[in-house]
Amino acid sequence: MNKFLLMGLTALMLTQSAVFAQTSKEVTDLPDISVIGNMIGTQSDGKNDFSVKEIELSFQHYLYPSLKADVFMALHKEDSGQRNFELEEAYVTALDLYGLLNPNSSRNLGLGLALGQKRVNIGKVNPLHPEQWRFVDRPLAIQQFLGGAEGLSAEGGHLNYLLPLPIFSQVELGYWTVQAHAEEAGAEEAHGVEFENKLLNGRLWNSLALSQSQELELGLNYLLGNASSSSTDDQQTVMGLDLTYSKEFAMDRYLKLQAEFYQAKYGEEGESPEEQQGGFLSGVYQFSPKFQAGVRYGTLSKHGDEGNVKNQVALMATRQLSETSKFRLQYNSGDNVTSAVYAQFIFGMGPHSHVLQ
Amino acid sequence: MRNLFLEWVHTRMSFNKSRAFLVAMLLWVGAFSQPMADQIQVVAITQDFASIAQEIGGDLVEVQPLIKGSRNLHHVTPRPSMVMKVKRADLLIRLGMGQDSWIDGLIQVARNARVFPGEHGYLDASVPIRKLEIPDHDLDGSMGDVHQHGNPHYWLDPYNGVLIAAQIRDHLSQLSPENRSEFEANYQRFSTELERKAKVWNDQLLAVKSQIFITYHKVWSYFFEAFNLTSIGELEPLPGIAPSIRHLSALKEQVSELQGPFVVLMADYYPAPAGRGFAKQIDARFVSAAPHVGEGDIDHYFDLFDTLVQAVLK
Repeated sequence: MNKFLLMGLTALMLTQSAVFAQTSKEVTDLPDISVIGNMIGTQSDGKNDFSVKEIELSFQHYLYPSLKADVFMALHKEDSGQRNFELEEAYVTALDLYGLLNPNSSRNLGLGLALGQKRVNIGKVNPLHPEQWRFVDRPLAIQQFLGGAEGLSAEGGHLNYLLPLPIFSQVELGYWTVQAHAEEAGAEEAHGVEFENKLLNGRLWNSLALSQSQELELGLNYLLGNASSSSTDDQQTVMGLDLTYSKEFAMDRYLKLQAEFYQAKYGEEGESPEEQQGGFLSGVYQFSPKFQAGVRYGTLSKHGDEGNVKNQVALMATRQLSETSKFRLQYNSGDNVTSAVYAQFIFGMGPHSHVLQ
Repeated sequence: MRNLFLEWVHTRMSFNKSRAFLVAMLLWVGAFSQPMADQIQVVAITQDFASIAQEIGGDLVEVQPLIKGSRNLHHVTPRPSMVMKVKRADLLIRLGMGQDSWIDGLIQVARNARVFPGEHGYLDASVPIRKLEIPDHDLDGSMGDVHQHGNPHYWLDPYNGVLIAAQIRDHLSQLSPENRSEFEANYQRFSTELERKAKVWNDQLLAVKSQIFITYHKVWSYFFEAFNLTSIGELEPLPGIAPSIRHLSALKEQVSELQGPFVVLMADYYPAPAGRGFAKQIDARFVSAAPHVGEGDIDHYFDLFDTLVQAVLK
């Protein structure tokens, strides 16, 4: 009941804001408000399904000259068919933490801080919202190690520091509290790394411009779950690296090659931790601003001696209708995974934006 | 299917090497040193603005563009290397009008307080420009990718170049008051020369003032207005929507009711075959031209109009 009340209030607030903005034509201090829709049709195992997978509402606004607030709420449709209205992210970002705390100082340490609930910055895929993904779904290993189909988010904060180097090199350190994922009624038992309690993460994100049109990025990632536990057997660890090569061509064409590989160590409750590895390689080519095609190969090893090695290949084609709306078709197949065909439509309304990832 | 990826990554990482992560980071920091610079570091969104900034700043500034050459500014993907330019900048010059929101992301990651909005080092060059094609009605996607704040290609009017230069002069003077007189002198020289050349370009374009222009996208609106040229439509049915047979037929019908000659003028980053084919159908001249400094022999803001005028006159 409360969820629906919250939804109703949000909708009312949106409507009132929009009506005011459109009728008054006056300068306002309204935040940037936008709506993103994600609809997916799936054919798998002879079954057809169509669902409005997610409707995301975002509110973005500067609170102070170097202090910004971002709030993302989403109405999700879970695999069980149940719809949940939940806070996806809500955080404030201090672009210059030292300057914020010491407004009379002219020093700029270049230290940034984000506080709140946020997708954990590990790798290139996890921080992205679904409308930013280049494929319909997240790769196998990313789902297994980093929060399932939706992604790993937690409450806490992270510090960012751009190292004083001639190339882009940013250190990110986060300290978070994560709630153990509650099993939904009727849903299958969750698999993969189940983080709980305190979470520590570190990322070193580097980028080198090979030329005016080519860039190479390398990220080193580390994640420690249940960090406050005195026993390493109760902790979960994920280490990995991500590599991205992008090249731009004339006529708005580009190529993006991306890979992420992770090694995780975790165990079920009462069992000693076992290792598991996995990752993906993907290539996406944009033929024109309207058309993209891509292929992705993902793999996931056994968890210790349990389970099977999984391999998956995904083929994708995207037709961009406008700057904010697109159709996508994708075919997934492989070893020990379910083959599926997806048809996706993503639409956007409003000035939605995300920080550089 | 063989697990090629896992086989390739057979060398496993050790969990006991967490310290190695920190050591690697420290070595990474120590491997480089930050160069010191005496000049005012200026970063501009394109080479058009960079060229003007170089004229006003002279030897006192070092100017770098974020984007080089002729690019469709609607489809720019920001890259981490751009962050480094913004991080070092004393002055950041942006296009504004909601067309370069990706620069906000660069500012956010660069965390350079000198170029935060409102600071002397932050310049939205569109502020004093008299904008064209500002919608007088509410917008939605049924109208295509219409720009809420008007047509953003304002650097293609040389008189707007003078306004851009004046703002750069003011911001550089605030950043380096001791060199105010030099920036003012450079501005006077630049604006006088630009206004003189604008008159020459206007005289040259008298030869095509009776001609009717058709474009692919509304890139050239400011250029047309500056030189009093006539445009009757675009190959795109709506901004950002690819040409359709139905729209081109209607446009052809419209053209048939007018007296030519006609010119199909396209920015060089749009697909030339579409424009060339339509030009052939209506017996028009086809011109593909760069709307930005940095393409071909266009090294300077003056060259941009010299080249454009000659292309239109051919």
